[in-house]
Amino acid sequence: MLSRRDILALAAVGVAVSIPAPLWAQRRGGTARTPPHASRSDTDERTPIEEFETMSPEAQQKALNRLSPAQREKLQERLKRFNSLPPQQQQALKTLYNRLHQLPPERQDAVRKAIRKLSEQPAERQQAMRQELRDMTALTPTERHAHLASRDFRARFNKKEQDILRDMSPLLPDR
Amino acid sequence: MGWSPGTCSLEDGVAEELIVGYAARSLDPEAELGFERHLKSCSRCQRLAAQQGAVWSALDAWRPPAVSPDFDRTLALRIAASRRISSRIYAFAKWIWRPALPVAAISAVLAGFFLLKDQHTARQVLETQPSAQIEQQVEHALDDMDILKQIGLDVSAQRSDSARKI
Repeated sequence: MLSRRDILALAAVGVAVSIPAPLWAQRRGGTARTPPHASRSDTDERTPIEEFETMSPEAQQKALNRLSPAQREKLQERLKRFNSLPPQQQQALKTLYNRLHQLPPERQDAVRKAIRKLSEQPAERQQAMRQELRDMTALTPTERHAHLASRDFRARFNKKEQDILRDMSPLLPDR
Repeated sequence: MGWSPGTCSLEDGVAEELIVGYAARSLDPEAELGFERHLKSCSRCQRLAAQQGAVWSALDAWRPPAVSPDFDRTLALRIAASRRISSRIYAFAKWIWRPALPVAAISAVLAGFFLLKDQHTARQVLETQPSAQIEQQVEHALDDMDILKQIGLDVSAQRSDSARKI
């Protein structure tokens, strides 16, 4: 027969084993971080640039001090250039950045390569592809998919251009 | 039974059966007499019957060893000793189990506490980690921004009036 002491001990073991760790963490004031690739708004997510700029001046300096003087100067210059962009353009870039970083790493690389290839195309073709992307923002994902497979699309763009547009299409916002 | 002289006239299996029965003295008198007559003329059966007879003689001569007078007493002592060992092991296990359970419970609680403490510490480290690498993250973000600038596309704006439906 189990004594009262044994029953209490078993109960303690049961309680210790059954309390889930997240609950403990919450009780200890811990906060769960958003898992990667979780559903989130393109505009709500803070970029590392925003994270850095909302840090205290001491923390910013501490981070910059980890860089070599040349790297530090270059980074500060780049940040200055970014901040000098019109607010609307900064917001657009932030949206694109967040959409890019919601993609799996291999898709992100495909998008980066596609953008580089786009910039290597003749100016008039670049213009045509940019206009095509602008027009595709008006379509739903299903409509975009159908459009990218359409005869009209294939008639207006060569194979390389089609690939560039297809790889860049995940950056377009969902309607 | 007709026993012919010269080579063994018995069918395969019959001779062996008769030899075994003859050595065991289990043949009926008529068969035994007939087989003895056959033996006089069949050297093969003579040899096999002699070998079988030797086996029977050896079995007759064998005497099992006598059981020692204190066999039962020795066996009883061994059984009792074995039972004593089992009961001691059981008593030891029972004795050790009672205090072990609360100790195990306390250990589990302490292990859980320290595990969670470690997780909390690890989480704190993780939370401070991004700021430890923030300068690299900013550089990568600026690299991506430079790439994205090449699109020249304001996708934050939803469908504009000028956007034509494809």
